Amino acid sequence: MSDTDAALAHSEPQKLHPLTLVMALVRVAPRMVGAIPALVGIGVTAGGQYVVPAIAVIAIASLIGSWLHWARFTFQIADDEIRIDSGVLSRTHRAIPFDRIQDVAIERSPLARVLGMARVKIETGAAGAGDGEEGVLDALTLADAEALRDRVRQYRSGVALPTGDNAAVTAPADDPVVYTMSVRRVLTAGLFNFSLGIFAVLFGLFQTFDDVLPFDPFAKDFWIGLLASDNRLVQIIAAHQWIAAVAGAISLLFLGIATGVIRSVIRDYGFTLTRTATGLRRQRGLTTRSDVLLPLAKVRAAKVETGPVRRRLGFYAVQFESLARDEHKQADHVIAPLATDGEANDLLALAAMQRPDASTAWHRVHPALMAGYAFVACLPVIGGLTAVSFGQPLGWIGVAIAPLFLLAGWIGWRRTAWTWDGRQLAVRSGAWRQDLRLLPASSIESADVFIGPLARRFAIATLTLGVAGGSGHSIAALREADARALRHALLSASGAAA
Amino acid sequence: MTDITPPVAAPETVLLPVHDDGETALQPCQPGFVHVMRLRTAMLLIGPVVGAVLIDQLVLKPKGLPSGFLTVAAPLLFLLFVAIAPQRRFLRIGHALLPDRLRAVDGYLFHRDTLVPFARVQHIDVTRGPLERMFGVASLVVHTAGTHNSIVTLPGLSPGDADAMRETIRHHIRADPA
Repeated sequence: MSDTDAALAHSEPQKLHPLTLVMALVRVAPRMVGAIPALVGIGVTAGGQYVVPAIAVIAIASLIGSWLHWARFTFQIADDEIRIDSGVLSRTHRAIPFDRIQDVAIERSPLARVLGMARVKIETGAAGAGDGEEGVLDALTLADAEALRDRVRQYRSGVALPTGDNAAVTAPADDPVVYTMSVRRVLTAGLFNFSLGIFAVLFGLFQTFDDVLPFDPFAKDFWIGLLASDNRLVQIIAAHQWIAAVAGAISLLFLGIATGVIRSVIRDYGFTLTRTATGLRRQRGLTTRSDVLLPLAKVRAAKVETGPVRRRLGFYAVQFESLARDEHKQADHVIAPLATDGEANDLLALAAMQRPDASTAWHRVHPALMAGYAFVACLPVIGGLTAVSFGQPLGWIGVAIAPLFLLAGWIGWRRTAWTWDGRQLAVRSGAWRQDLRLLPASSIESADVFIGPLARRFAIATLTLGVAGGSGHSIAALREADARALRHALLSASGAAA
Repeated sequence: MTDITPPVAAPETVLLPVHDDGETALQPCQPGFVHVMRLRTAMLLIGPVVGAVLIDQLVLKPKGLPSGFLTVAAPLLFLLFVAIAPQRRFLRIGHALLPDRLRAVDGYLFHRDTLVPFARVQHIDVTRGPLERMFGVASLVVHTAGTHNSIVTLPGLSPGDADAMRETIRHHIRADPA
């Protein structure tokens, strides 16, 4: 057995590392924020001298809670399973067989990195498990966390690869890197990560701290007062409203790009994907460094995504779908946020998938798809005309939206197509943001032909394929005969046929 | 680059050889299941229908608002859903045990036709609710690992058939489908 095993060769139940308590200590501070209203209440009603003792009581109670949780939490690494006993009053005894583990993720917050600790998340990918937090060990030393992950990995490799390539398993440093992002690549990816989410956050903050801030940027007076110091400027802006509009648009664009770059750097800094004996190992992150293992045998489908600018520059985002979920509860595992054509092909090849080449004959879906859009487009028209008939001229907006919606639908329809090569189904969609989904027939669990009332008029059907993981695979508006024939072909090739 | 290839025109012919999935003789469900559907729908709708009539008579009428429509429409809809719809759906429910897969067909307006290869079945339930027991039927519920369409229900089987089908499918399930 290897050295890594020795670090964790405990067959007895063990506790989390005592440094966990230190981390809990630091976490008390943010928790106190929630108690501020209560403290203010105490200060106002009972007098200021009670505030400090109240803080002390809350802090001590919180620490005792952390200690109880730590004292009553044990875990045990057996030969083929992890047992976790937890709970202060109501006890939970959980057994997670290595067989059922989809993913062992190691996460390190900035504090954990200072202390050399790591949070281990064991995912079994149980479909109905809600939060996906089946087993969390918070926290172990980094060495123990890695040993645990290697242990699971080794067990799984023994199952998946009977040839036993154990040298590669026990020496993770030798695993070949299959994809990595330079700082420059991370920054480039950030440019395409445009987001105006910052405004939602800012708006929420201003709502929350409405009374705390001495000013309210959402009030007209704030801006008038701010500009009153220079009346000329106010006049110019008032006279040329387009200046304000252009300036506003430019600052929005800038903020959106800046947010995207910052988010990309925080999330994807040092993105490294290595090929291990059984799968892929992804490490990324600036502040919180995450380390995720994705067994290739569990990859069910892939998604290749690109946008209008990225496409021209030859960049694609690659995601793999499996039953395990990615961090932040994402259904798909990001394998490469920004990959070149060749890199994307190489990564897909690891999971035995390939993009259809230029000579592929794509089959469009039936134009009757537009009938469904037309049905939806009627709604704003009816609503708008109703408003107009009541004397509200803004109702014409609803009428104007309908043709734009139909135009967008038509452009999308032109792009939506599928192709089946006898082994893998490829479906592409989206004209602006283009998606390509690759689904090997062997991933298909069930197949469903659905015909709604409108579809019946056009003899079309929706083919929905059950896949263990991902966000769903279906093709709308196939000719009914095609849907049945394609379904038969897919199931016959799925390897599940007798 | 593959992604900018212009798509081919919408095909005018069937692309793949047609298979007889669509022609296999389907086993109909038990006639008793019509009553189960009727009672289920009736129990679901009786509250809203009575409520609508009461609102019409006790709220709208005394206030002089336009009334009478709900009193007529709600019971009519109730009749439509309880007396007519279950019979039509009943004619569309069917199943077939093919050599290596299970086919489940259901629905009149919203028609669904599902195929599940036996090898992909994770586990099987035979369920009988109080209503089903009353009318001598049972449901076979097949679970797959999929996150979509993972539960396929065959309603209105005779209890003996349901048990027999469960045994048949069970023999096909592999130990570990992963």
